[in-house]
Amino acid sequence: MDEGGDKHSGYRWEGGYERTWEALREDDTGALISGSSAAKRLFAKKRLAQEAGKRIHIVRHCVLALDLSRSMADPDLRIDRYPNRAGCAIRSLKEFVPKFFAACPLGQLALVILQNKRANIVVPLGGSEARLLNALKDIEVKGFKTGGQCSMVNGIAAAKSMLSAVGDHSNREIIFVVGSLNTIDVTSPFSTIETVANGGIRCSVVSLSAEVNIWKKLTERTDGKYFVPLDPIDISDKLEELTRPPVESSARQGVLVKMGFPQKETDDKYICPQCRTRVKAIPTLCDVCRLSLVSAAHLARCYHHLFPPSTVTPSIPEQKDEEIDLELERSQFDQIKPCVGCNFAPSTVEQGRQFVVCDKCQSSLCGDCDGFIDDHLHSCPGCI
Amino acid sequence: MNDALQLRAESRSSLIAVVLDLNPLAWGFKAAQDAQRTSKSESFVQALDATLTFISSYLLMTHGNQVVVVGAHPLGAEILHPTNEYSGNTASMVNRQIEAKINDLCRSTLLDDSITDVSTSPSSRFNNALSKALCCINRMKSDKSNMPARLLVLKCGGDFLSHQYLPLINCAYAAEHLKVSIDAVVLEAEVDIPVFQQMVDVTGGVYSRVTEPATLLQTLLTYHLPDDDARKILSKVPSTPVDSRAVCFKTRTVTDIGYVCSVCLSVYKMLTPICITCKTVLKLPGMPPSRKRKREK
Repeated sequence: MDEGGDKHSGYRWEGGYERTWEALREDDTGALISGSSAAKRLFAKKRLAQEAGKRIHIVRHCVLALDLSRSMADPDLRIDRYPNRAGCAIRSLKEFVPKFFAACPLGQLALVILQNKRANIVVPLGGSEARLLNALKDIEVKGFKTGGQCSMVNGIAAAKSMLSAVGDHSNREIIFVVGSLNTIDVTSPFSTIETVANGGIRCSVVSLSAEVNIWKKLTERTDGKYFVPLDPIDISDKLEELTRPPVESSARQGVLVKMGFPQKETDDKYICPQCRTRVKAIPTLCDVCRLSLVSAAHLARCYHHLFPPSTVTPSIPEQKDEEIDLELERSQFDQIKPCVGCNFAPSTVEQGRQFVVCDKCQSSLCGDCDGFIDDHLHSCPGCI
Repeated sequence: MNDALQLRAESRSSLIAVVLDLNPLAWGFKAAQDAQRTSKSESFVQALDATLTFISSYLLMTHGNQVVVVGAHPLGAEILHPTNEYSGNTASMVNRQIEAKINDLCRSTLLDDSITDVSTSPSSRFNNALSKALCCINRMKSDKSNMPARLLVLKCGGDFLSHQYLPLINCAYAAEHLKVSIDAVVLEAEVDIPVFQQMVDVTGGVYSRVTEPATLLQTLLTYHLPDDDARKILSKVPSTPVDSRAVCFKTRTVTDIGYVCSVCLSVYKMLTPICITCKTVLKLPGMPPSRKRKREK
């Protein structure tokens, strides 16, 4: 058990009964409607509401530290053609990388492999999605080779060497994906944890085996998150949670970062506005004058964190009473207008339940469009 | 017989969403410009004719092709097809419906109001139109998951749509997620529209600027009719340099090197001590860090 006092309420079996079957409902024809999509939407709304009005870290520099020690060869987690823990980790990381760049277009990622008590920098910090995916694919092609032991101190040292060059304006993070239950280190891990915490680097850990005290200490001390996924699908979910920009815990001073907006001449030919060097892709640092090169579209893509979509209310509010007032529901259903996005009009009350009304422009939206707006479009088609 | 079946299975139907500019001010201005040079001044009729021909050709290319048409005007956007009255995909019926819908719009006072109303921007609401088109594509894609879809925007006039920049770029990235490429056609003699160029660049579509309304149909048919698979085989459409410079939040001028606030990503051309968007006091680059001195007791 955790001696340092657990923040969680307790183990799952200590919690109350979860009536998962109640999420299922029947529509008018008697077919089952799964509540999962509705639940997902609710969850997304909750998250948006939580993030509203908080300062977040938009610019992130993040090192992915992947454990490929012997313990990752354990086949206790496997899915499709991914035979072991290492495979599942790589499968999830391949999903993580594009999502990270979608959420933080100005962010940079690096990949470090922990193997044989060493930490090898496979991909240095950069904004190229393709390079990371290729590196991950490379490991997959080589057949998820694992070996030796995992070392936390060496992993942190390798990550720190890259992150120390990054300015204060960015949030520096290390995300560990580990399966090992032990760590073999040259120095005391506790003093390393202290130096990481003082350096302002946030560490998060996804543990594929069990909860390990030393990793948990690391995350608690550095204000990171600690996850123990239940199954291969859950790894992706937990990593997805880490793609979202973290909320700023203490107000830090803002800085002005000099950035260049190069013109695209032809395909893969951009010209740095400061020194006229040709670069192949953006966002990146200019090879000659070290100016960060981005496009206005990259900046604009970040702004949805600052200007979230307007809030909505359900067209047919759920009734708290035991007896559901069908008359009221029917009248509420009759008032629903066709969806402002796709012109879809509900034909049954069950479909009408999915409809919401935008609080800003009072136009009605169907469930599909509402989810699409929250996840990708970030603005209501009816609002100005 | 077998071959024919296989061919039919291989030929996949696809969906195109066309966003059509119905801004009376822009078309009127264009017509006046054309009237000065030539005696004809029927650019809107010509453009509508070209678009309808394009839509018909698209529907006739492959059996089962579908089309969504959205009209954009300064007060909003309207879905012209499919509607409750007709949602099929017969070329002649689709044409008739779009014509009727535009006729209705012209007869109603809505578009007249948009000219006289000074409080709203005179540009068409392309952000609303594109969001609607993408919502329609999203719905159709969720019904038939592997149906390829594209988007074509037709705009008249050279207003830069700067107040719609953010939602339009959001649309572009949403389209990228749906694997929808955005094509843009701008009917304008002199300037390019940077936001459309960027949207096209993000999604991998084709951007073209048409100076003469008479050449619109040819441009549409040669550049914009082939689908994504066919474009790989055809020779590349000559691309123009994409202007992706940012606009300074303070001076409203375009800049190629700027200073970006690390908290809210506002862009400034010159160094500023306080960010005007998020009101943060900013540390200037090159200055010594302002650290509070720690005193020993």
